[in-house]
Amino acid sequence: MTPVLEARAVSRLFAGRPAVDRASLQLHPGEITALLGPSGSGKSTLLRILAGLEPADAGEVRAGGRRLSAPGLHVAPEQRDIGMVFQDYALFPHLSVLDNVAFGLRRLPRPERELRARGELNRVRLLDRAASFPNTLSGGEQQRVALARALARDPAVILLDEPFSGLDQGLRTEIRDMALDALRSAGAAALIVTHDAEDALLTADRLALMESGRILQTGVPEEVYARPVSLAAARLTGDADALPAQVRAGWACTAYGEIAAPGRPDGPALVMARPEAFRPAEDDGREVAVAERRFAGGALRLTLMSGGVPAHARWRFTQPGAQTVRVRLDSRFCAVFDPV
Amino acid sequence: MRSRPVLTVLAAVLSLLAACERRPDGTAQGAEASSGQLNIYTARHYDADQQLYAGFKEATGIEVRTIDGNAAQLVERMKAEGPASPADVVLMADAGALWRAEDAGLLQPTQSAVLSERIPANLRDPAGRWFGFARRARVLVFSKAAAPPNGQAAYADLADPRFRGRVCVRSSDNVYNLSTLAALTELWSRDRASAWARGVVANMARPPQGGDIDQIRAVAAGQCDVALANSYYWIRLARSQNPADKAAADRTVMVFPEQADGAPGALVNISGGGVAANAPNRANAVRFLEYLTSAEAQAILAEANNEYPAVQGAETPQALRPYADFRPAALPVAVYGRRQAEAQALFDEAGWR
Amino acid sequence: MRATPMALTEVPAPEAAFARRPRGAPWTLAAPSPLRLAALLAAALVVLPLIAVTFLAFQPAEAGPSPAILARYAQDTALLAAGVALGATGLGAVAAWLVVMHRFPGRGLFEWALALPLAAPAYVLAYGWADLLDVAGPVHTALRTAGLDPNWLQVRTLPGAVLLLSFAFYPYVYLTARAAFLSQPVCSLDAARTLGCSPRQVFFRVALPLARPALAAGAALAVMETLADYGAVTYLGVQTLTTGVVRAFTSYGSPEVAARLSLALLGAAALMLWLERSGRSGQTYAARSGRPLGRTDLGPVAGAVAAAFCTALLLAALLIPAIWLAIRAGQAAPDLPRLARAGATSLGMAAAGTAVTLGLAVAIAFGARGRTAWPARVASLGYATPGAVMAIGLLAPAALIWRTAGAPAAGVIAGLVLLLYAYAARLTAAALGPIDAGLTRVTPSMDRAARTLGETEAGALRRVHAPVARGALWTAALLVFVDVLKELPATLILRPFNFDTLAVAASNYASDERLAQAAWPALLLVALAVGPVLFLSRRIARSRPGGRRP
Repeated sequence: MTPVLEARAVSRLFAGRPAVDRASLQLHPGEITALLGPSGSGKSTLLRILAGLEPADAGEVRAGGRRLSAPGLHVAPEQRDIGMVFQDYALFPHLSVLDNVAFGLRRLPRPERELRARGELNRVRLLDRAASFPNTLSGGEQQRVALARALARDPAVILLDEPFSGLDQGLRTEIRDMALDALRSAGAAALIVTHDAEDALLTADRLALMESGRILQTGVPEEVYARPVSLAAARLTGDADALPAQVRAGWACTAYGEIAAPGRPDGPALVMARPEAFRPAEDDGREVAVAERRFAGGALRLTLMSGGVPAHARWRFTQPGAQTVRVRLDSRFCAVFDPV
Repeated sequence: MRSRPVLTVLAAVLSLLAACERRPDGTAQGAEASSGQLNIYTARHYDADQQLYAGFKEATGIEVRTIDGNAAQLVERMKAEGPASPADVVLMADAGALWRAEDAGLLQPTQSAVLSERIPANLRDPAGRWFGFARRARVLVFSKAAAPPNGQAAYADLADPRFRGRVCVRSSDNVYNLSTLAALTELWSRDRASAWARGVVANMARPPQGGDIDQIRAVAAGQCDVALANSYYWIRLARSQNPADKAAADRTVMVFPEQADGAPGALVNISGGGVAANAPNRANAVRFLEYLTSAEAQAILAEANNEYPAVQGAETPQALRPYADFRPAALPVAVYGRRQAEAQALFDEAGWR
Repeated sequence: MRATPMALTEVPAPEAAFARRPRGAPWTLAAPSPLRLAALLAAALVVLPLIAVTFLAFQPAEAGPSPAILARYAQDTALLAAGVALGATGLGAVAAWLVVMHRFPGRGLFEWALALPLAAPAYVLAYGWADLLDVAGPVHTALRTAGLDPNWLQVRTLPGAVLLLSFAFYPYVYLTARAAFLSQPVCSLDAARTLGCSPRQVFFRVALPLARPALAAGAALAVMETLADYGAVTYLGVQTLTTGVVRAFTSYGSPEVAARLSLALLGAAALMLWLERSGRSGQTYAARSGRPLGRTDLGPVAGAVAAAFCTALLLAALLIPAIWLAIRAGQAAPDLPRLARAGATSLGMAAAGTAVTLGLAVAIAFGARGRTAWPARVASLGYATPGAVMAIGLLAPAALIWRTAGAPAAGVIAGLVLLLYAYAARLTAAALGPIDAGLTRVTPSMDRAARTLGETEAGALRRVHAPVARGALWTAALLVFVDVLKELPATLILRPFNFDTLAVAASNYASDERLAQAAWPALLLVALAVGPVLFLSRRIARSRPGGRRP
């Protein structure tokens, strides 16, 4: 499948320091890609480069066979077939909801324009607010209008900058689902930039991790979560403990047990373990101390201590009052890295 | 953007304004042949001047256009315009200002038998670059109580200790005051003039403020006993239809100073003009200057602005005669300009604000 | 002599509040945009006269006023400026606090009427008051007749000038303070009450500190006006640095010395501008809550006092001098054709000047896109420049036009173009203030959204920036219109032949000491300016931030 939009080793310097550092990314039609990274990692800058709102200092951005950005080359944002939803939604305060959505449809004759805009509003279920002005809408409604506005032009690619960060936790799931439905029904390639691991894992068909301007890893969410390429990558997608280990004959030994490390030479190593990696065990497990126990609704959060190394586990149940528990490591939720 | 509506409005307004500038007979200025036009830069803004321009048009058919402004601004404007200046005639209300224009090379010599014959030599530039057309005297205005019984007064009186706290004058940067001190410096000496300025400052009833009429009104109101003013201001009040103005004149006495035997005579300043250095309508300019010396123009100047005729032998209008009997100083007025900066420095030293 | 610019900014709309705006985040495109170039060009045009002044200042010069004299000018200037800053701020802030936060008889009327003195140039106030309180005037005469000593009642003194200019310029503070009080967070006021503050304490401990940036901005405007004023202070016999500039220019015949003194004034003006700007940047945090302000009911006694204060202010700053001038005008027959011509010229020039100035301001503001860019700052200096200084500086670009246009430079169009340019050079900043403020309602991401929705840069300006800032454009236009009506020094020195504006006519009659005749054009000028000021004031009075403004 050829990507509809592709960044090839794109860099962008701010005051001599790279905000985006040789980042490569592919977007495919009908696929939602999430770009996950902490704030300041350069993900929004990469987004703006893709949109043409920022030039590329090195590398190139291509759409199909066409070069959009390269050093010395810049196709203006309005000439790219790319829609964008901004973090602050950027609705035009002087235009009604309907006119906002119709803003990009100027080439169409008026009746058709209005029809299309109404169709888009219907898609985000805001047809009844067509005549309202943006300042009368709630945050979630504004977000949906912004989405409808971007989708109205039927762009090949749609970029969303932190689309859900401004929303209340309660409404967030509902709005996120609605937005995903709209995106999928539109069939465009979508790129969602977010710093929220849950948002990214839940929404993405493909996930890209970004830190310090670099793309660390790309893949389907499950794989990225379970098989991180580095400790940093692992921590972007969820909680992870780093357990010092010694590799002996293909096994990495930690204070919490051993996991297979085939092909790795003997010597020190680091084992990344997700909370799910610490399994309750019977006699075959290793006995470790429970340093702290917190009740979090559906599960217990345990802070374990073994050999001076803390670790975090999520269990359904422990013996009340138990000072120690027995655990074993599940290698499906572990990865072995070189020591720091 | 808004550029299109903005440009439309602009074009419309410009053409409207341009239309306003069209002459009554409908011809636009641009199409005007230079023979029928005269451009005057004037520092005079008296209503009387409108009558002069109208009279000139009637006599010659030449249309007059004017720009008025203060003397220094007109001089700077002409310097900036350089050879492109449209000015034909420069009119100033003071000899010092005429000298300023002359000094900047903005006036050209004019040889006119009419002008040199009619205007006394001390009221014009020997080289013919400017000519005086109307005279005014720098007079002392006394309250009735303080008026000299014999009618004799001198400029030195203003600095006399007997008027301590009883003198009203206007600010020192006023060109009439500058010309007065310049003349006194020439008549006396720099030191004596300087001492005089200090003496006046010591006698001031209030900080210098207002115009000449304000000084006269202050005397009338009793705030001071004596003030320095141009003759035509007092005469304007005396001839006014407004009862308050008339009362101000009635409560005061205008005295021409320095009339005693051996005294130099009252200081006289002129309104005058010359032909601009780059005048496009030079011939018309000379005709206008000559027109100003005509009996008709002299009468208008005297009648409408209460100035005295400058032309030798010109008849003073009836209404002005009661106020016209004085002996003017013979001093060449050219000195006012030459000594103007010096006069300002003396005033500044004396603390005359 | 010139009306406010930046003061009359509309308070940022609530949309701007939730827009996270990365400060100074660069948005660079590969090629320099033509709009940016237009902005630079416009700024260059506007600043040309100031460059000319600076150049002139470094030319060899003859003697000018002595250092001792200049020191006195500087001292009186400082006293006058400080006095006016205090006076105008006091009057304006109290008036604004009364009408915004209280209910008393006539409040609704005063709310917009208190801005009206903006229509009267300071020199017109000076004509009216100085003549009314002249030693030979009716007041002094009456006092003397009654056996009282009237000499303490003098306008033509430094304190008199301070008072009069405070009356003339308090509307600047009033307007900025009113906007600030209107946009103050109601919850902070409520919080103060729950913390045990009386209403009066709320004013001094919460509202006043909150409004301080706005008050500083208003005061800075008043001081700039004071520094720039020549007509009024001269008429009042008070000598300032501007007097020094004029005296160096006229008595000593040295434009070079005048230019040197101008640099000092320019420095002071730049300082004021900086104060005003920093005051404005502090305002952006105001107004989150859309909840309407509660007005305190003043009792019958306090209400009467408040109404009396507002009435007295209106009387002193507009009505008494205007009425007295009207009485004086009755003593002279007006030259009606001349008045009509001057009135038409004034209106025409005001309209054309507004168009040109607004065009340049729009180019600069849209080129900078709401971000305070240096072209805007540079252009603002023109506004803070005293007219007498600007007139000197304008002669350099004028010479260029006159000389290249050749003989028919007398040609009306060339002359008018020059004059319009002069207005633009002086007043672009006045238009920039409101437009800039209006553009803060356009966040960078709105701009970007338009681009990703297929609009070109210019298209985004036309379809997003311009409509969003439309109200601000109107404000700017009216301000410039009133300013051009009142403008005097540049018109005097640059106008074409047979070209009288009302301001010029008034000034000419006044300098010939014919106040009765001068009163006619002066009053007509005020009458023409009152309309736009009224409209502006009512428009601003209606726009409560947080209110719905689709």
